[in-house]
Amino acid sequence: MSLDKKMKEIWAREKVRFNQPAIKEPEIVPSIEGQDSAAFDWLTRTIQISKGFVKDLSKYMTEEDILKGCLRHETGHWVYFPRELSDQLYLSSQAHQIFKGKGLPIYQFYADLSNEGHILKNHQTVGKEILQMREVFSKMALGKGDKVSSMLNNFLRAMYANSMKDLPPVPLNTEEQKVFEKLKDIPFLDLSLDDHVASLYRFGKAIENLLPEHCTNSTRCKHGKIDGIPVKEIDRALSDILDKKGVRGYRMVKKMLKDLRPDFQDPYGDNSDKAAAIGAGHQNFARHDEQIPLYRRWAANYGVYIVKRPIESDETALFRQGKKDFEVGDSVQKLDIFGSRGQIAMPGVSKVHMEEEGTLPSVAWSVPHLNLGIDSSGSMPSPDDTRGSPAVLAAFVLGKNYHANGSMVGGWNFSEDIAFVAPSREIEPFYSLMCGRWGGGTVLNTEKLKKLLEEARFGDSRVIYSDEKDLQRIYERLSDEDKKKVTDKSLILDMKKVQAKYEKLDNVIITDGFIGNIEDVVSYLNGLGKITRNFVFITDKRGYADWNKHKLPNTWVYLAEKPEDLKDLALARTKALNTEANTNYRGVR
Amino acid sequence: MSQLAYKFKGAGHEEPERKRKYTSDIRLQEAFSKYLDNVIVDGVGERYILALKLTRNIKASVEEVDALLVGYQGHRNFEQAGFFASAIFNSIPDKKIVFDVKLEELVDGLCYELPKGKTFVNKANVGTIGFHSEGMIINEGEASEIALPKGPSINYGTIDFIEVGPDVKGPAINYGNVSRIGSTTEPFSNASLLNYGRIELFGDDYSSLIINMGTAEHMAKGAQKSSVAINYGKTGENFGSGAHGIVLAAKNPDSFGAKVNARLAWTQEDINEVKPLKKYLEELREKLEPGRKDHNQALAVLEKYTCTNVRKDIEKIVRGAGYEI
Repeated sequence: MSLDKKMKEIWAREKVRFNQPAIKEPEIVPSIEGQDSAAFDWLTRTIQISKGFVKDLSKYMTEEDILKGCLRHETGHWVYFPRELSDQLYLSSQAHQIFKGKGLPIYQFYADLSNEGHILKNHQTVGKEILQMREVFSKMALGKGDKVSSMLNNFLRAMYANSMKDLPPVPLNTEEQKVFEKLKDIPFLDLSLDDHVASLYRFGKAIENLLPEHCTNSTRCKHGKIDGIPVKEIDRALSDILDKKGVRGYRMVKKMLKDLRPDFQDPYGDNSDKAAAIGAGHQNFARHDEQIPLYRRWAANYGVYIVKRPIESDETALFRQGKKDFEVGDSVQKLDIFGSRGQIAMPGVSKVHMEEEGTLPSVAWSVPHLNLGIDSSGSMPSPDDTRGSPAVLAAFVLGKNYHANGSMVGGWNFSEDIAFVAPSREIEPFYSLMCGRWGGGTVLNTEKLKKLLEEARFGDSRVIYSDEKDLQRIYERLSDEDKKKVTDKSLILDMKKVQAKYEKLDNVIITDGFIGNIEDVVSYLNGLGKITRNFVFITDKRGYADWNKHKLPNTWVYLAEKPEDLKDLALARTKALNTEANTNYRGVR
Repeated sequence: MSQLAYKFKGAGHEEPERKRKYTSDIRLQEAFSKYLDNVIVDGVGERYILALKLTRNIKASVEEVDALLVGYQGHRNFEQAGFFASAIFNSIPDKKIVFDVKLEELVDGLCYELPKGKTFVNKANVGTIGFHSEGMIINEGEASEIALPKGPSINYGTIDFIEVGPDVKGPAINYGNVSRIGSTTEPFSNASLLNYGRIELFGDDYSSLIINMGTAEHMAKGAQKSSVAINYGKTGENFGSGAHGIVLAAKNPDSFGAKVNARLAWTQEDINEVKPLKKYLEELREKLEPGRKDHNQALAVLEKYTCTNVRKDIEKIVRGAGYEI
């Protein structure tokens, strides 16, 4: 029977054992990257076994056992460990960072250990072939003078035997026994990802000194290689890592990819040239545009439902505008009966009304534009913080969702000063603004903010800073009456002046709640609450408790301490809508 | 009915394969994960007590704890992981614990209440360590602070602040770089401070023996009445300004600040005039010299030359020479 046919028969049984994994029929290939080995090809999702590999092993084992062993091992990587590409990349990046050049070989041995451990644990009837294969690998490596590979294969067998009672003990020589003392207690199954990192670290520390600088072990499974993984899969895995392991894990993987997969281009962008072109900077306002790709990707994991509200906007409508001679094919419904001299549908004599598109002010349920204020004082985490900033994430989540709904996005970044971007359909300036940082204390200058909003022209996405120069410019443009108001530091919001603008905006503030002049801000929100709705995201529990005490009209206060708090978030009247839905439709079938 | 049902095989399914029994002890991992999820951020004592409760009856090695610290670096409460490590380190029989794990985030709470007789050697980059430790702390890496240790603290690396605690039984010796060595907590410490390295602010408001054999930018400013400050090395401006105790410049500083309030404030020239005092200070310097290479020798000298002994010796010599003190 040919090798291909044998493999097909064995695979038919093995895939049932592994619950029909979503991988293609395995292949016998002449070689894998010029080497005799077995591997799982990510691009084609196929297990490949080279002919030479089977031939080499067949001196010690039957072909059936070789195929069984290889298929189980490679399928195990798909089904048991690491199972997820995100886990593989995360663990590899940890190993790469800790053990540098030896990192990937160490990860590969560890992945084999955990994978085969799972197979042996979950299938009591399986094991003979895998253990036999490890023994053969050890012998073959020794035959080639590769003492380290021989030892490592023995260690794997010994670790299985040490933790699973019905497996035969593995005799080790004195040198091996010395290293094995460090390995024998390492757990490698049923662990969280963090625990796997801990075990990987111990495993690596124990064998690190055995491995040569350029480890070219031929008996190692090619599973852990980063080269062949399709870019699309890496992209998905990166989002998973951000979700599971946060910013630190994401940054580590990106760093590893930069070293090992320079061809990988992040679809969310790796630099921020575009964002940097939004306007002049300010000496006290630190830009972190390099963090934009991270927060864009992170925000993509979160969706927010924004409840629409009635907003006055210009709807398009068709108006009668002039007349023309009737032509064949024109709609008779547009005929001007009185202007056609009694001749109906007579080309050149009869007249038809022409229609042109015009605007009509009307009130419609729609998603408002976003006016988001983010606190970037010293007490707030910086956008480049090790764990990332939940505040910046919240800002990106909101910006992305408002923008996706066709609304304009703008906002202000505040500490003691304010950087401001008027709402527009350009989202990059908004992202750049949200990634900026003032530092220092938090005293929200509501006067400055009101003036900036009054002056704002929707659609203009330049950043304006509330420093003295800007304020002077704004001040000079004001009427004498308004100048007097500013000089008097009036905190009363001039509703008439800004009402038309504010009505179209949802007003959001993201802060840790520790604002020096909280009374001013409450007063400001009170004023706004009469004409629009306010959302306040508080990133600190204590701040949240403080803010919840204030009964603000038309204002929703949310706790956004952790990224998880942003999941399944719906802005505004969800509860009310549910109640209305229950009242209106209960019992109606 | 149930018997009949038993006879039928499940439709479309084969009998599931039996599993092997896998055994491994992951109690430490579980305890650590639980600790990080539940650690109280306010109150260092509470953090340590929680760690003690969770690690009861768990035996672990330094390597296992190191590995856990590496594995859980992304946890939001990771900064508090040192208290958990301390609970394990304090319970194991090892007399010397070497911490050399490279971590991305500074961990607080290492060698918390380190028992007497144990030595903790830090070779990594850590946060605040040494709360109430009675054992010896040796820093060869970087640390934010050694806070309120009761035992000796030796620094070969870089530290921001060594805050010597009130009930100290061992001195603080610096061979590396420190921004500040002193005490902010009353009652002030009676442990000796010895510098062979470089310090920015050395022994300000301190109450015990302060000896500089290296470089101190500012020394013994506002030192307490019971203090004795001796400079053999390089000291910057205003040596001993505002000090109330004894201020002796065996080697002259850039400028001498101790004048009005000090019990005794003598420059190198003043000391040279009193031969027995010059001899005494010279002897002390010679005894401390071998300590430049070996902290154990320095510790042995400081054990004999306590602040009280040195003060009494100096007072006796000075009075014997006919001066008032």
